[in-house]
Amino acid sequence: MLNIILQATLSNFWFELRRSFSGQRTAIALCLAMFPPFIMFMVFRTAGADGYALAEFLMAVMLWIVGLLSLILWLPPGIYSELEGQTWILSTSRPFGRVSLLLGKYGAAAVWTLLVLAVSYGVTWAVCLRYFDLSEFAWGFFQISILAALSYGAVFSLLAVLALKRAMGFAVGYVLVSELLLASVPAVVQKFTVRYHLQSIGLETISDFGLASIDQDFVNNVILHEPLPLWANYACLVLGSLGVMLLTVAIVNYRQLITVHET
Amino acid sequence: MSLLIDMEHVTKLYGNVIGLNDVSMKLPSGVYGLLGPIGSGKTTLINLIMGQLRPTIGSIRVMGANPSWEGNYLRRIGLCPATDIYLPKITGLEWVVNQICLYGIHRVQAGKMAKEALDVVKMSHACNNPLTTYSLGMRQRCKLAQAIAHSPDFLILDEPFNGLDPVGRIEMTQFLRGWVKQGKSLLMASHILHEIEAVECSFLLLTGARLLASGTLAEVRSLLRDIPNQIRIRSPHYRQLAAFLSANDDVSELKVDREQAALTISTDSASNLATALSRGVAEHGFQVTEVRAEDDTLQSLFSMLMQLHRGER
Repeated sequence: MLNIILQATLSNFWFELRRSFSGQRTAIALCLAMFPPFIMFMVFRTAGADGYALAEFLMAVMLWIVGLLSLILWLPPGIYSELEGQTWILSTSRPFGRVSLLLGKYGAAAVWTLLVLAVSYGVTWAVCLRYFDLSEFAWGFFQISILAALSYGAVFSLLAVLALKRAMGFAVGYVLVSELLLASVPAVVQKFTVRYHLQSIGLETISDFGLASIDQDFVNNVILHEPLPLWANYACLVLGSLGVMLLTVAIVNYRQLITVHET
Repeated sequence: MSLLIDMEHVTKLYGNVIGLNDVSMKLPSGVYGLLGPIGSGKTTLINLIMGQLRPTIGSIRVMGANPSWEGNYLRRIGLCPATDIYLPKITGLEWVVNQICLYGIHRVQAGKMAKEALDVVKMSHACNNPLTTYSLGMRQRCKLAQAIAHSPDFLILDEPFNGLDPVGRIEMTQFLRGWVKQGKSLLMASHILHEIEAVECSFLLLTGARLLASGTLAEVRSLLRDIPNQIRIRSPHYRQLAAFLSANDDVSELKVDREQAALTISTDSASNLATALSRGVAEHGFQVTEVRAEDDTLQSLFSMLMQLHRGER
């Protein structure tokens, strides 16, 4: 059974990647990827080396936004397009077809997002080279990018199978309410957001993101309420993503998703 | 041995809309034509068989499995749905290979199977072109290729003749006849009756989400023994023949076609009418150039059943 799921998921994954490499999509991805380096370029052009702290903070925020946008743009519509294009029944008329289709699309969207982030990071590194060396943060950014793509990908997959046509709207709403609002509330509720854990890992493994000048108590009590140990943040993201994906798989197996013309 | 399809009082509701209404059937392995007008519930029935939908009421088993919870039986089924495939940049071969891989088959093996299946549906010459460059008929053949590539025992086709040109239709019919000869099961949904008729099969007639009739053409005919048959008679003496036959009690309706010099007669007993016609020829010397049953085809049978269903007969 696992072999079938794995083979089918891999097949769907490659197929999704193959069909997604279009000129239009690559152009959008490049536009997204160029956003952070452009902001960095403007900061340094305006403030010179004095813009270091702001640039460092902005870079993290920009990469976070780019990753989110990349996933929102491709994952929920990718799942819904299967229904809209009425090709769903073809894939799901195979044993474990629903699961493999979902996982394949999830994987393909995550890879696209990682590619966008890698390009973005690379160009940003080149733009900032004169002022500070980003290469020392590469490993940290790599980890965070993977965790962000998998975690947000899981959440958006769940929203896609719940809200279908309106999934993109719900995903934007989720980001605004949960990742912007709740993640900024200095209370336990912070810990239920993806951003809290990503930010915690980022502060430990990459840099202070321009927060060095801020009082450490303020960071520990307000920005990150009662910080968790590093391993706990990793565990929350990995196990949380796994749990959300299991829930998504259960829903996609249970839901009667039919959009074909009735004849 | 388990039945191919075993449905007991299956009703499917889409909110307040009835997709299928109290349908029961026990079908052994065989060849079936699923007939009905658009919106009659054919695709709902196929989706229930494929486990895409669950019955609101009733139960269904396909090849002994419960489609809602057991997925392994899908390995033995090939589905060619009515929906079109239109994927930019993907070639026919790539698409069929991917569809086969979804059974858990390795890509190399799937490639061989896909080529064989595309050869069967006569798509080998164009299999490396993008799907978007294909005609509707070519895409239809690709869909058929992915359905038969893994050698299923039971093939389900939803409107298989859609988009096919006349040559394609003949080839499809030949393919289906070949499939039936192999002893494999087939369920073919269509609203084009003569195409189903071309493949000798039992048929299931759906209308208004209900199963109206089922069986072979002869079996359904026997159900309709008391229903008037339509006979068309051409004669240069059609006026005199009309006067003669109208006195016969077995004639329930008589229409005169002056242009064609023909009569169309509805009768409850075609044999009695034939006797009366013979007497007319013998006694009055009426010349008859053609006698033809108007309702020998499924089309007329379908119309007849629909009229019966609506209470018009």
